[in-house]
Amino acid sequence: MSHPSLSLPQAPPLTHASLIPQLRDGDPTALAIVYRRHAPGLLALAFRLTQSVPDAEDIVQDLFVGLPEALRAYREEGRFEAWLRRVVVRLALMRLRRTRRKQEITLDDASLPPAAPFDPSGDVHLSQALERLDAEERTLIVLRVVEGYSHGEIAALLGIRPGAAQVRYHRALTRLKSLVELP
Amino acid sequence: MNELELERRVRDLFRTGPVPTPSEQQMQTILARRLAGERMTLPLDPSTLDRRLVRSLLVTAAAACILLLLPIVSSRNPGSGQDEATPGGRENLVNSLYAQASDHPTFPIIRATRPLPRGSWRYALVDEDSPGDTASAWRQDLSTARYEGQERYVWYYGKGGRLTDTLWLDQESLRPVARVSATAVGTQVTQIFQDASVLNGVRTAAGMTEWRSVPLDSLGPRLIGGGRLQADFYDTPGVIALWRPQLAATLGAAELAIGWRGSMEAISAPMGMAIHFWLNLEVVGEDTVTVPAGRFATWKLQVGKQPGYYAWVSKDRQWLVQLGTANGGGGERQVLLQGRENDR
Repeated sequence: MSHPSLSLPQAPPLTHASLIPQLRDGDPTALAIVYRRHAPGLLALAFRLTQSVPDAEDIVQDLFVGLPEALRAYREEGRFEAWLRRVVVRLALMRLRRTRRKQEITLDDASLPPAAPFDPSGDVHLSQALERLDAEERTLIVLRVVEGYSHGEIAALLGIRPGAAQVRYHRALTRLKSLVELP
Repeated sequence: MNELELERRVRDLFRTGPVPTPSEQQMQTILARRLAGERMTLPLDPSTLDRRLVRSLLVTAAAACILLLLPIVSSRNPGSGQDEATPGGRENLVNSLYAQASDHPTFPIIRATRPLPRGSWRYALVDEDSPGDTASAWRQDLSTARYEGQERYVWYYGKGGRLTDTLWLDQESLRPVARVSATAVGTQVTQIFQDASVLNGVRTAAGMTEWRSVPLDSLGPRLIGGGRLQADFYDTPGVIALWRPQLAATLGAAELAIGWRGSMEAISAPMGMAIHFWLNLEVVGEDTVTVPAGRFATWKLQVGKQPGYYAWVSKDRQWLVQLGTANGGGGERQVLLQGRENDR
């Protein structure tokens, strides 16, 4: 099927290099373009870390509200998307820590809602086991297994030593395994 | 189960599990929050805060930008060939109403020649691969109300109960006069359309902020150094929602007949921007179309300056029945699911 030809002026390709100066100036158009390009992946990442749609949406919203100012400190090294993802992980960790503190103050384990299956169509038993992990354990597993971060990268994100990240990851995985193997 | 197997199962679970998708509403909320002056301090990697290095990199980046933008500026020189659409970009452009926009009216400027009936219409976006997918349906209601002492058309746009948009149109020129959009809980945007600018006011939980004026820019915001944004940026539901009532009103209020031609002054104002353009409309034939709302004898109008994008308007009541590429055109169409007039 051939399409009719059009003679509209064609915009130049919008690379990150050309968008970043506009983003730093807070240009709403540039912000909207970057949102459309990256929000799906960032929202999925935030959701995997927080297991909450409202929290994930808030994290992505906060990221884009603060992006122009944050970019003034951005070193244009590596992939822009990887940088965005690291900021999302940090925002999610901050939120998870806040939530955990709040729960410690206001809730005891008995009053926590029962774990809901993550994906009813998938591996329900594994989903329930993941739900029973604490936030840090689940974060470690998501970052390592799903996002493919190295122990060094995880350590940098959590502010701990790489060896400690490795130890905590294996501890989390062992706990998950024991929960999965529960009858 | 060993650790590798467990890791594989976890990976599969997360990668195939449901994840939320971003919405136009969220993007509008982000822009509204910034427009209201809100700023966030993000938790950055400490290594990114080496200020001396940052400063030197910014200087380098600025120099690189100038070098990068020089070719763009020079490409605006007529005859450079850069203004021609490339074959790779055509498919998106064909599907976009924005692609049909023009800087200047080609035909007589349209003024309403008949009153519009009040009512409610439901539309959905469908494409040839999924003709039955009407999950993205939205509602448009037309009524009248007084605004600044004059009776105006009022279009209400609603989708899924989350995003609502109300647009006031002048009854003769059919130009937007004002808009109120609820983009999120606690956030409301009010826009006043003026001759050459749009005044934006954002009401947040903290109260109404100051008003900011954005100049109307023909055919959309320009990139630094020249060029335009890609057409598909304007094809998002929230943005198109602003033009669709205007187009529906214009086509509903004109005396359509074979050979009829008119140019519509279109204005769109996504957050923080304001766009002004012309759509040239021409009745190119009669057609009978079937959409979920029924079978209609219609006027078929070419929309914009290139063939391939059409509006089908019912002959009896002049409802906008269908908008987009023709059957077999390989693109998306907005189709009428249901229509009802209050006055009948």
